[in-house]
Amino acid sequence: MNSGEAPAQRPVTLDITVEDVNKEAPGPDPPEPTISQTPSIDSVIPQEDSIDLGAEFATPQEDSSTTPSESLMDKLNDQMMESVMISDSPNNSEEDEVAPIDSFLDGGEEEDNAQETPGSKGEQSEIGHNTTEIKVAMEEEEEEEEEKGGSVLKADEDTKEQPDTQEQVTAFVSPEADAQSPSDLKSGEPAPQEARGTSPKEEPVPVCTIFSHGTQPKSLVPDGFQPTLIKSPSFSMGSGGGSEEAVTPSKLTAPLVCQPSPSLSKFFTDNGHVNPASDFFDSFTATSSFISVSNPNAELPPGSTAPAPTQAPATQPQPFNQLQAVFSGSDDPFATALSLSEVDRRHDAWLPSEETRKVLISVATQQYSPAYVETNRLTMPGLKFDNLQGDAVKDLMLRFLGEPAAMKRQVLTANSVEQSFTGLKRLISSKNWRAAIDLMGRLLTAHGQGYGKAGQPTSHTTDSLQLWFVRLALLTKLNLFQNAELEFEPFGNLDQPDLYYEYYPTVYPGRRGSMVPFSMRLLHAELPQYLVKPQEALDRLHNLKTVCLAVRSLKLWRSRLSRVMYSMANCLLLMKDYVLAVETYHSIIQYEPLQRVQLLSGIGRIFLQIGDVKTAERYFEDVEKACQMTGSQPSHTTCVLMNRAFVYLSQNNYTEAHASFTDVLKIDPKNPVANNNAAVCLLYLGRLKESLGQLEGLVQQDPALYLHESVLFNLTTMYELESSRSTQKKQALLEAVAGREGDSFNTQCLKLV
Amino acid sequence: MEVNQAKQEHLLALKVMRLTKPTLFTNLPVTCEDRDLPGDLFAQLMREDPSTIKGAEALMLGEMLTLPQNFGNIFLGETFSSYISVHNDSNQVVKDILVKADLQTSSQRLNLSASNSAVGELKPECCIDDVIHHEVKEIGTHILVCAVSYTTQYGEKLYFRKFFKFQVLKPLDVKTKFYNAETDEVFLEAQIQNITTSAMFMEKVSLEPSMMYNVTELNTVTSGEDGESTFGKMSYLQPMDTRQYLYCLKPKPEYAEKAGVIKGVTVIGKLDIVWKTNLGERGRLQTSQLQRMAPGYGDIRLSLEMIPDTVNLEEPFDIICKITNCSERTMDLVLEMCNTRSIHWCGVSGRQLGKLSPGAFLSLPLILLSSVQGLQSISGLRLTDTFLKRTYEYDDIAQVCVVCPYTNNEC
Repeated sequence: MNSGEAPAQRPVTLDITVEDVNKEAPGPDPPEPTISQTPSIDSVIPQEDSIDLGAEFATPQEDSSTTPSESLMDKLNDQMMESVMISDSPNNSEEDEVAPIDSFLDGGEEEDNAQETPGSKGEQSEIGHNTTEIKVAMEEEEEEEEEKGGSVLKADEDTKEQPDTQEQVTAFVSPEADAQSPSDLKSGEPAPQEARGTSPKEEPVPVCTIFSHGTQPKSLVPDGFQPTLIKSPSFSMGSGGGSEEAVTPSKLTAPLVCQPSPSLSKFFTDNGHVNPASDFFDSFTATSSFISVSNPNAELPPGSTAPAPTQAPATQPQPFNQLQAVFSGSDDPFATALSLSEVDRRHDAWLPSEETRKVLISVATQQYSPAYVETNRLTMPGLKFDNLQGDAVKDLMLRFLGEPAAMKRQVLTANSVEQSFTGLKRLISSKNWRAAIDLMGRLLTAHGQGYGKAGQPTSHTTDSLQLWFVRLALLTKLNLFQNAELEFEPFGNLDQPDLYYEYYPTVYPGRRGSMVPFSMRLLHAELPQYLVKPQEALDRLHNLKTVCLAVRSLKLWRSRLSRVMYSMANCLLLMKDYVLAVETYHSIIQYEPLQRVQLLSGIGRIFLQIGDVKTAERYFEDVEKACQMTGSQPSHTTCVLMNRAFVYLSQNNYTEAHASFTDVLKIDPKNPVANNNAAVCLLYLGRLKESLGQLEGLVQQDPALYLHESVLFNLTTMYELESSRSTQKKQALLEAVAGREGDSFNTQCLKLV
Repeated sequence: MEVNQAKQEHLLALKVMRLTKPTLFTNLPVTCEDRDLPGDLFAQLMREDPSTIKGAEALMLGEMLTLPQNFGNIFLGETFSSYISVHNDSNQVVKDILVKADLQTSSQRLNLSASNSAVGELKPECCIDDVIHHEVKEIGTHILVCAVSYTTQYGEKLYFRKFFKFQVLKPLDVKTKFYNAETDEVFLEAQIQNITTSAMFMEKVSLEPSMMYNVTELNTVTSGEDGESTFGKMSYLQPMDTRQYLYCLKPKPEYAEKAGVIKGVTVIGKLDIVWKTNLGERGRLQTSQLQRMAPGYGDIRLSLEMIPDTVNLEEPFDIICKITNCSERTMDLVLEMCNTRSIHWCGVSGRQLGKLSPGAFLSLPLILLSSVQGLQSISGLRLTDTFLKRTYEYDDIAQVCVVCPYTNNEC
């Protein structure tokens, strides 16, 4: 070996096994000469303090190219890739619309319409008597109709019934709340409720439409106040009162035979607001027309008149089969009002498996009642852990800053907000996701799907599934992947018959499709990739993609397709299958032409990440061309400069990289990425103090933007490099964090522990 | 130096951080649709997150740079860069500070400090910064030795050292294989395996031939104007992946003349490999000189200069043999041609070829035919050196494909 003689500039010589064909056998590697001449290192070391770099920097075994949030990527390191075929959709005919899905279910639906049996009629009329508990959630396709529908509902409003309903609901719920969170109760209310077992009749299939954007064509008298929750079949089917107790642990509620149902609605009534529903509905998907319709209070002045056709059935127990007859006639105004919203249909469309489809048809044709579907075909979710609530920031404060300081930390908890979506929204937007998860746990407990309820028969509504979705989504956001997986497990592949509207013909008459939000399917598909099962994630994503392609011509489904493609590309990137990841990102451009610049830049960064600077530059050139074509938007100029900076960085030219990031700041002085990246460049230029000063200043001036885990991680890293007093400085950061951030803050980036 | 020096409180603190390339922050997109319960909330959270790509929040790979979070691995051929910061933790001014950074390897000690001159004074809360770079050229244990000496305001001279130990690992496994062509060309197959834990972009894998050879790289498919790499569009190597590179070496004309005389071990050249990883982190290696044992030709080398690949059954065809005297002495040769089961030589066997001096060669046209269809091996040439009465046998010199010209019509 000539390493000894090698002058400094010379590249290193690597030992090599040389096989000559003439010698048949490929010999083993010869021993490394370099090693053999190693003098004992120990002799060099005096007895002064010797530091293994491992201690200073953590384990040397780890991949150097990880970011704090990337540890899961490392886990994926060993995963072998399989190539996955990406089938692009060559066919763009606008004709096929949702047809494929419809055709699967059409048979069932027709029969459903045709034969409304006397049995179901009876049910309907019973519900009719129970009018106070049933929320009208009308759903309209068009905005104009929205108004119409709204006024209808308005007229129906019976003011006398309002307190009634409210109290009922409260009454019903409070025992449960006792068990869970006593503080939630309004103390005055329990007494009246009990007296009131108002609903005189059994309610075989109670209805809930809290967040409903669901169609409720059979809408009865709307109380204009609260939607109520559907009960689980086990509570309502047949046995009535007895099973109620299962839902409501407290025996106090025994007389409440025919509750409006265990109710999420509590969380919307029991909050002391006169009209919480409006808050809720206003905040919830303002863009969606049907939802606002379902919120008469919000939309309409009291006492407005003009009852619309839909009202008729509401006021008196009109036989449901009549309604159905009306429903099938196309010219009837009733039908117009009641007919399925096309938007809904598109939104909920899904392809059930063959088996599920059969069950749904059977249900629709009344061949057998949903009650007799084998339990292994049912979805029986329940909370898998009770209380997540915790605040790592506060814990750290206790440990480092002492009790008095920690007491100052104020965050919203599940208890401190309205037990409603308004509260939920506050928790989510204030980044108290743990508290939000707890709150959703309560709501689900009220729905009979609480802790330990997994495996017990229950029923589902659009709302309960939405709650599950948000809970699982937040668990994922908090990197609590295992918890999310546990709670997802009872949902199987999200294709059980009881997750389809057709399964509840009386609750959602005429409504078809899946109650599972598409976003929940996507989450379900993505989840395994964070648990070192990227192949499974890809399989699921491909299934989603197949369905998206089946209905791809619609705008909604196109955007869903592009979202699925994003997930696939992200998953492939996690798997480090860069070829397919790049291909997939590239294919998204056709669906999201407006994101061309971002996508091409992203692909360029992937190439930089794997070290292929030249190809990255080619992509960045394409970005510049795309930017020129669209005219000069500031965001595009920023993007071009940013890309340039990354190229300089990859060429080890930190001076120019810093200059480019600074150029971005001339256009967009508040750009947090450019600010942070410029500071990082300064460090590589040996200007630690400047870099620190810059980042510190940013965090102080604009904590909203800079109390971000990546920035704080950089800052704490520099503190550690700068002086021996990094702990104090980190504690100061902790205080800044405590003043602003919610319980979902990832304290690891402070590196205090 | 005092004995208990290590325990002494120092006014200065020395911190070292390895500067691998920063990494791009990755986010975890969780989205919902407008009609879902959170409505616009999730989208809003993602838009407000400074690390997301605005307008394409679902794109996981962001633009935010984060500093290296651990030492990571360092591989032979990469550059070891490190930030060295000496900070005055005390509240007094410190004078005559000298910071020295040495790298101790198994075989040598290198000084990496940018400057060796002392800093006059350092005020409280101030630092001395240095960024050192070193391309590592040895495998195994390395120790970064940082020594700081300074004078307190009371004139006390103090000194301390810190040691940072790290291992340099081997990034690539390289295996080579030579194929000798019937002509004087040599083909080199190099198998390069990435034995690191991250993907590697192979920027350059070239063979630097020794002075005797010209090299042609056979790693592109020439279609159109640009040669397309045989490895596809993306030239990166996943961990543990192996890739084969192929090179063709031709002796330069001046050496080709003597090709027959090349004997024993010859130096072919060396492989020069440049790779890059995260954000252009670069590494470079050269192999040691690749050596090849020249095929032994004995005293006389018989090679073919011309031979058809396909011939007709029972039809005579021409070949041209080249006979080179690889020995140190002059030979007087007689050629015998022995028929085999399928190969029939035409012409007189036992003819004199005359004298051949060392290193000289002669070209010999011969005619033969095959009586059997299929792939036939040409065998049966015998050369006898009348001086030493030594006979050299040449069998399986080449192969020809023998076809029946009438097959198509008859069948």
